[in-house]
Amino acid sequence: MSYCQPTQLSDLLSCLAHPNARILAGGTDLIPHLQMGLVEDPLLVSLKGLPELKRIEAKPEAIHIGPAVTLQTLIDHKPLREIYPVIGQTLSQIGALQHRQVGTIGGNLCLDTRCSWFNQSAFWRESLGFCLKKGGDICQVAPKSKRCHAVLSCDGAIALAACQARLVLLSRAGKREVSLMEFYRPNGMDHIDLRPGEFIYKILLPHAPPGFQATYFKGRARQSFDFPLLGLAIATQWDGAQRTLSFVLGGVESCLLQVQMQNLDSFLTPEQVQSAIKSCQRLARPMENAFYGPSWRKKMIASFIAQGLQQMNLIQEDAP
Amino acid sequence: MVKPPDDPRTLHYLNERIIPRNQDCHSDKTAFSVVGKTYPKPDAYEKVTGKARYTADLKRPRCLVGKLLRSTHAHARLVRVDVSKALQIPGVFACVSGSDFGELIGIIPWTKDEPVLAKDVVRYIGEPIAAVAATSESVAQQALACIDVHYEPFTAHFSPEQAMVPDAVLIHSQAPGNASKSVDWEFGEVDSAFARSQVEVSGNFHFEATTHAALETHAVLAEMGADGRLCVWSSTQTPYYLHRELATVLGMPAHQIRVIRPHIGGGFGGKSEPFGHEICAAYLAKQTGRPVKFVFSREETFLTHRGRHAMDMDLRIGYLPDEGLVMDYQALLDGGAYSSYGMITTYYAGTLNAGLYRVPHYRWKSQRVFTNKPPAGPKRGHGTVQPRFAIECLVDQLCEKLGRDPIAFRRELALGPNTETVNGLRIGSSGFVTCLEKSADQSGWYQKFRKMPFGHGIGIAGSWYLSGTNYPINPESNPQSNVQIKADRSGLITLFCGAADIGQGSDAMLRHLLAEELGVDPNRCKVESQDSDICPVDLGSYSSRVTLMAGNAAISAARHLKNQILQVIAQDWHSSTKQLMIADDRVFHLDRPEQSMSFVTALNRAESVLGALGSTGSYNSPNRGGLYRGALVGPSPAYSFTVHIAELEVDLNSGQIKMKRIVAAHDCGRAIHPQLVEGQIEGSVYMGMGEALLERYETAKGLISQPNLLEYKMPTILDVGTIESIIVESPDPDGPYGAKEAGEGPLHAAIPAIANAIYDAIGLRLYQTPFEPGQILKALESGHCYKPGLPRELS
Repeated sequence: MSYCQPTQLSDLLSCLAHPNARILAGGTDLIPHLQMGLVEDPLLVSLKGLPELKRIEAKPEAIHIGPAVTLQTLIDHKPLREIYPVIGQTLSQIGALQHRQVGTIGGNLCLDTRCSWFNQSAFWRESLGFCLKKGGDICQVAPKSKRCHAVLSCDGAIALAACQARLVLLSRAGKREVSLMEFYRPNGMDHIDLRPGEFIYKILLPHAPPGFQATYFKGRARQSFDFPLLGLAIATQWDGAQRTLSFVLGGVESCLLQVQMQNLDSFLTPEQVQSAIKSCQRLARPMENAFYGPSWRKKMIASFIAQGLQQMNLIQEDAP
Repeated sequence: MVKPPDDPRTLHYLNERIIPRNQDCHSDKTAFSVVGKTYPKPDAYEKVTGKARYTADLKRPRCLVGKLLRSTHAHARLVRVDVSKALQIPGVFACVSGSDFGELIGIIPWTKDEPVLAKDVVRYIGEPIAAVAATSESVAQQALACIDVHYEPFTAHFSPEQAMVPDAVLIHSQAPGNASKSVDWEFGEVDSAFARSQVEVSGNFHFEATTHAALETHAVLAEMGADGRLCVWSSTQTPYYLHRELATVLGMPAHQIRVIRPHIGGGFGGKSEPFGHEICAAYLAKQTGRPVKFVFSREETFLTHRGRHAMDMDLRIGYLPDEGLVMDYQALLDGGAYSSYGMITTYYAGTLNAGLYRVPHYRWKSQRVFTNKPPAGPKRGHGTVQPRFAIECLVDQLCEKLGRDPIAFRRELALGPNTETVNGLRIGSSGFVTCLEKSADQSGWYQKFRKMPFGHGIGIAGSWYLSGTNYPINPESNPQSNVQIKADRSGLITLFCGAADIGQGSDAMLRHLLAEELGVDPNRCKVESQDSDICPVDLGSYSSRVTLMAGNAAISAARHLKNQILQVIAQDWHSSTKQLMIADDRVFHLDRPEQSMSFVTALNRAESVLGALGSTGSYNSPNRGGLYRGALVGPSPAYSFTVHIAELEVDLNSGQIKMKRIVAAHDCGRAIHPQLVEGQIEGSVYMGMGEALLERYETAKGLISQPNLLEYKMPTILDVGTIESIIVESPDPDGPYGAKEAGEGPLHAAIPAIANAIYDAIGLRLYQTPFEPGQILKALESGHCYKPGLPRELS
């Protein structure tokens, strides 16, 4: 294992060009991975020497958030809290306070997918059989499947996607921009769209569209210190006289899932609510690889949607 | 001259560090000066400032790192374990395997079936096969990777049902049918009693395996002295049993071995027997001539396990209005690969069921079965937590059927003080009825039970537990606890006792009793309990035995010392010892108020006459209990009693339980140190709540699925609601100043109280722990949930 702490952006990009480069920010995901032998012989690239990556700036076109901003800083950021309360609401449900104080937003977005067959020691994996994601040739959760079903478990991404955040990715080859939805792919082994040498340079949050409101629900066994067994963000905004509604799901697939509904009136009809629930449940493919099984997690989609729409006043009180 | 008070016994120490006690829990509290008051624990400052050193913190010069190679197979023949390549690695000083050890180990003398390191056969994934001692962790890891192990897999059994199939492969050749232990008893006339019972209820219950998850993982350090003596520091609840086992396995005279128990970060039963890694550390230290230290990872501690047995229970209870209950009970225990305490667990799985309530007719069959999983063993409430869950749930059902209030019904059924169960357990004091009343008052039971809206529930359960066992694990006639006291002319009184303070505060308890009995300030008393070279034997911290046994020994020793001092002073004052007393650090003459002397002066005077001042005290429990085979497990000098009332809300959207509050009333006989008693109650309630709602030692192919504190879900502070402790005191004639246990008994009732509260909330009976939201949500969706006590159409 080796370590470097670049102080210039260009040096950082050179370090990241190393095939085994791994960014070390808060370390709340990477260090356990190292201890479990899931990451071997890395070049640890610290972001400590680059204060520019820790900035939050409001620019005319968007709010720019540096990847090394800690989760707690974002939670405590007053202007952001006013524009996008859902972000603080979501991030404050990540880990425990100690994790949020060191964990960064970039780290959360790049959190490795999780699975009860993967996040284990080398001894454990050797005893029960290695899996596709590390050292084996089958997915232990779905042996007939050709791909890995480890789960996207970053709450932050779910909320940011609902806020239509975009990412600026940077490498020596140049800069490019992707939406958060596109950033994730349905393959637990290779779930983020980062090319070799590339890293999240900035997170761009557009200024809130008219009538925007959003909320986040997290399915978990405990009230703290748990990854999402299901994460659901609901966001709505006005598109002229019509309402648009977006449901973003995490914790039930290797990527983010999204269901969008357009041309809605002020209130949803019961049929529309049912249709939203059905669409989300149809997309979600929770597997037997987290603390609570697929059935509960799938049922919770319906429950969260019903609660969320109620909270957001999108269901008429006297509706049948 | 100091003016004596009218009654020196009413003196209270003017110590600003005394935390005032706000609970009025004994009527005659002016009779005590120290007992009943909370002082900071002697180790409190060390612990909160981070100065306390645990085994993993200890450093010795030239220390080697010890590591274990563990089996990756659940059941296999070990064809070959070749350590020769590992030995060639620079920095590797020694490497041993099963063939280096002849003796099998095990805490119960009749069931020693566990090798120090697996020999010939491995019986669970994670079983230690070989041990290395090397200069660093990485060299040790490298060495482990070079050990050549060849396995020939056998069929593995992951459930008792699999293991009990006729002709199933045997896990131990001496255990036909893979039976570890069976018990089959009947007391009274069960069948005829059922025939005449007014109402009966029954159910099939499953209690999931759980583990201790003490904050401190296992750790041991061993070193051979230049004088040929072996010193072992270990995170253990039972240093004396470790001492014995080391002598036996290593073939060393016991007097050449010194066991030191440093500060312990919790045990809960998981550190109460000698382990292979402790023997390995000593053996490797002997072989290499250098200190060797093993520190387990969290995963290794999970693999070592000895946690609560998963138990399947069939229980049927009938109610006979004039007699009490009739009970027919069967339990199947998933024992894991070795016996550990399992023989005792199998008895505990039934023996305490015949008490708490009047149960004149009781039939019981329990069977422990070997499986290819980490060995189950004792966890807080050893073997009795699982059946108490089943019993209290069914008693709630009985109340429902009979239309009786659960508190009134339990009061009517309660087996009172000075009674005996049908299986020969003699109860001295009992504060159970007081526990029922106080918890009902504090929780607002009568305003809430069956009266809250759908989704909100309150439930009650009771339990009882032993304060040590009359018959110790090793049948020996020596005392179960010994104490020595040294009184120094400086005024320092030091009490030596091998009782293991594992964080529960037994040192504080002993100091309290010493100060109380001598009539001195606790701050001039000190307890030494860590070192076997200087502390006389106490059997260890298990079975909730320390307060009662070491406490009685301490009082006895303190009384001897006091008599020595008073005899000298009485002679000086031309008086009798009966006319003298020590209180508030002074010796007083009860009839001559003007005559008094400071304790230190008296101590010096006594030393000048008698020479070195010291005393000893011992405790051996009374020989009580039935006369049948197996009657020796269960009898205790005194029993504690507990009532829990749980209040909660079922989240109708998720099926998850939101704990609001648990009111826990515990009868500990006498609260010697009330804050420590409250700490034990709170910790027990918390642990019970975790087992009720979240924790499961779940195995996939014999290996725990969640060997870390992220996925083994213990509740966080946000999940537990409030815990309100009520100390109830019913002084027991057998306890020190009447004290009984407080460390385990307050756990049991949490689980059934929560189950019964869920029933009160949504009309759903739960038969399996933990109470998972999936099953609750499914029931809610099925439309069968309702508010008990209300007509269904209204709820």
